[in-house]
Amino acid sequence: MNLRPPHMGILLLVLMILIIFQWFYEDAESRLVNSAFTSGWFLFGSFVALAIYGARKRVPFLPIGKTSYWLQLHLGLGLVSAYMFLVHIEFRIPSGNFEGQLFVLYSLILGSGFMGWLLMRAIPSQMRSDGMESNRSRIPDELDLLREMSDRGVKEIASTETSSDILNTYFEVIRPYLHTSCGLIPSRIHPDYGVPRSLVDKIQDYVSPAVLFSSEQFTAIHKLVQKKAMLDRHAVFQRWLRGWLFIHVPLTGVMAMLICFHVLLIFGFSVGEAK
Amino acid sequence: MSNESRGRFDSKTTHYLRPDRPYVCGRSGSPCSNGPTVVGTCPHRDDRCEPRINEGHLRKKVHRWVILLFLGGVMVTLASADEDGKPFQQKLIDPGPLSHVHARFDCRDCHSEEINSWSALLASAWHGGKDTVGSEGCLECHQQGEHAKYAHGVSPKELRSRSSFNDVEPFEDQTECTVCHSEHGHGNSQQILSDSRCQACHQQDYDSFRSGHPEFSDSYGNRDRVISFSHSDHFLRHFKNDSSFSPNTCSACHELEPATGSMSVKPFEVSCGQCHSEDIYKSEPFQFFAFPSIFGMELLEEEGMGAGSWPEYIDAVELTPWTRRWYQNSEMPEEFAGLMESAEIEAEPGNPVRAKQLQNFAMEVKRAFIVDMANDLADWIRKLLPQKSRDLNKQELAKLSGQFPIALLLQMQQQWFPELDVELNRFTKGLAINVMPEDELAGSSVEEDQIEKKDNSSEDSPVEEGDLLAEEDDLLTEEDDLLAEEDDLLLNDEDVIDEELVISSEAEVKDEYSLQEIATGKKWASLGGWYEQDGVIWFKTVQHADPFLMAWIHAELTHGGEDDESSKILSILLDEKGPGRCTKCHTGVSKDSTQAHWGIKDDPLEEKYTHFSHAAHVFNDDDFLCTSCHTPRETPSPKGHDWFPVRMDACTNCHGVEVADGCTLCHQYHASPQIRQLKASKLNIFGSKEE
Repeated sequence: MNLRPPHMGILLLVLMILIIFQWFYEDAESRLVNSAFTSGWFLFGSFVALAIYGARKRVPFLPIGKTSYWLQLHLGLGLVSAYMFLVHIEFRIPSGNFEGQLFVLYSLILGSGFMGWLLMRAIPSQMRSDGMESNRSRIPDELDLLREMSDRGVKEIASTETSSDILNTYFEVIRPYLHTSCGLIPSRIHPDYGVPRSLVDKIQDYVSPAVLFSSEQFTAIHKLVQKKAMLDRHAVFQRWLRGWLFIHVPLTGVMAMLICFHVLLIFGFSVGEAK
Repeated sequence: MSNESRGRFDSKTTHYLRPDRPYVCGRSGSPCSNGPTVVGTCPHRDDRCEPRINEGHLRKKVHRWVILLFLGGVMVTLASADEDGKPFQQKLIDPGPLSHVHARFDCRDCHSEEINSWSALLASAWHGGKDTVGSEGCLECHQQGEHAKYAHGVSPKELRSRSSFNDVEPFEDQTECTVCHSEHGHGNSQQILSDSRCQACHQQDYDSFRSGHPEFSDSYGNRDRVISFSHSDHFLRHFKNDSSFSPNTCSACHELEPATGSMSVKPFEVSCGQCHSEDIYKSEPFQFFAFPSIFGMELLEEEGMGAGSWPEYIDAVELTPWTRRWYQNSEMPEEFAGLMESAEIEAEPGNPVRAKQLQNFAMEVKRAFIVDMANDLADWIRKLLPQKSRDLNKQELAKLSGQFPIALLLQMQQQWFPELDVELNRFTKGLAINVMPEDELAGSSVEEDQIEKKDNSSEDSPVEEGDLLAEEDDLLTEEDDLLAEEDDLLLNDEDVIDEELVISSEAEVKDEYSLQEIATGKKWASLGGWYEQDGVIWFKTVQHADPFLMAWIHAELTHGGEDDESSKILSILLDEKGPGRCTKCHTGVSKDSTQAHWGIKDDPLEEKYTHFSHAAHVFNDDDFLCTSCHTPRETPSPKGHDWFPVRMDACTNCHGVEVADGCTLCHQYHASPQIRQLKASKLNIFGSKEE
């Protein structure tokens, strides 16, 4: 996993926010006032600050720091807000319906954000390991092209004297594979043939994989199958790299609205200050 | 910017996904020139492709749908009111279950019922939630007294007096219950006071209990003594001389009170009574009730103002405070004030005014006495009580009565006033009341004078002629009686002869039985109780914790006030050598206090800032003995304690650093005594009372 050292300024800023929060919270505790209000407002502020990161990406022309710094600040604030959240809920699982929903939502957002950070640290190095570079938006076209070339290649094989087993294997196993989706889990690649192990297992029902992949006639198609496997692997990684945002971002919007409602309820039903 | 096409990199023609185009052509290699529509459909009728969606557009769509779904759900839920039509009392905003003690509460018990609409909710939020019930709602059930919202629930002045501050202002801040006590699933709300909350006021800085915590006070472990008992004296002197009564363990005399976790002394019979039960019966009885002596009753009769029979005593009698109370509460006329103070009253010869006063006094006493005999015991006891305790219930009166028997009262009446009713009736009719024989009187009796006056004033009266005849008949009768007496003398002569014969035969045998040798009242009452002796009513203590004595001490301490009689009664009952010898041991009972502290009990009105339970510290283990914490001392402290105060070392020796477990381990916030008092519930189980 590729872990970058944090920017010292951002690290200090986050630590300072944490210390200020703790100081205010302790002060509220020591003044015998309801400290949940203090932690709540800090949590609200951190939530706004986290949401600003999304807005920052929409105004890239403004000279307000690099996006990478903003991302580090976003990550740091995310961790601090998790602590604030735990303090706010007094380290317990809320039992109320509405508070329970807020808890689940926040947990999902925090969890998806943490998962996104992990994926962004771990996947790119995996993608680089096979030496291939891919553009996610080109992958469908490249797969179409690959299928077209494969069909042309098999026509050439069919025009020559060849084993019917090879043709059968192509039409029953190889071609369907070329048209399948990549799925969500990357396939395990066979070290000898460079194709998915599952595909090798299926080929064995028709012909020996060693015979098939050593055949000169089949060499061109073999390369196409290897490329399909790599493209699929990249497509899967790309899905994971972007997929978590489909949880993180929409739920953030929902959370924003629920927080407003939560504030309204708290103030509406709270006791108020001592008379 | 140029509008010329950028070839394969032009965003409008490329296959690549571009943010400004929600969909792109699905054909690989040769996309169509105009591309799919904005809603993602292929414009071609033949050879249609499946346009691919832009990732950013997909994200927006998902985002939009999630928010719309959520908002829709919220609106539907909020729009559906509950049975009462109040949308904010439904489960969507239910903040969680209440603690088990409040499990049956309704929202309206704590929250304002007016918050039942959006506008009301907004208004309440705008005004800072002042519409909710707040601490006042809590205090309706949880009685904390008038200082509930002040620190520790006690008055600022009281708290200031315990602190080093001179100014009362720091103690005048008020705190809402919800600052510490939370509901709706916040778990056990009992132990929620964090150390930091204590330190809001208590700012003495130290690291932990082991390091820096102030040492316990010199009185810790040694409560104010209410029983005078010396462990050292008993162990070093008494038990050394006679080890048969020496207890082997502390539990021989002490026991744990499970409810409070405190250690108490076992009942007298089990502990002290093993040796000291006889002391109760050695105590002296005390005079409870007696009328004063009137010397010279015959002088009254000589003055023609006889008052009939009156108690005569062998020894000097005391006028007991109960008798004086009886006077006061028998509505005796003011003119007898001087007489009611004296135990010995003397008549003065040749002083008819004094004689008349004494006659009236004696007859007034008899009148009050006969009235009491017609009533019941409760009425009699009420007349002996201080003014403020007249409305005591029968159970208390029963203890105060000591079950005084009617037989004793009748016995006293026979002894004091044998002709009580006759004398009172004659006095009421204006007739003379003489006890002495007529021949002993120096002058003529009032009755004779009256008769003579009547003879002189009305000789023609036919009725009086009849009376004279009757007197003649009486004289004849007396003659008959004299004859009868002569016959008796003759008979007696015969009896004398017979008796001489019997004595001569049994001359050597003495009488074994005689009613002259029956026990005196005091002797008979060796086990305690009521008795009469020499014309005085006495009481002797029956048992330890005698209900009669305790009831009177309690009544006089709590209701006696500045009453002189109360002071005298307490002097009698609380004398160290007095009845029961109570104060020989019970030093917590004093006539100067308003409450009797008989045993080591928690004072319900005392403010408690700490708590400790022996229940959690007493084990059947030789390593943990009472003396692990309590160290005996041979020389008692100035306050009489024969134990050294418990020190912090006692805690840390066993607990080590683990004892530093937060302030509330030993301290408690709610010190006010009201928290330990149960509020009486409104009992209406059978609907007998209208709501």
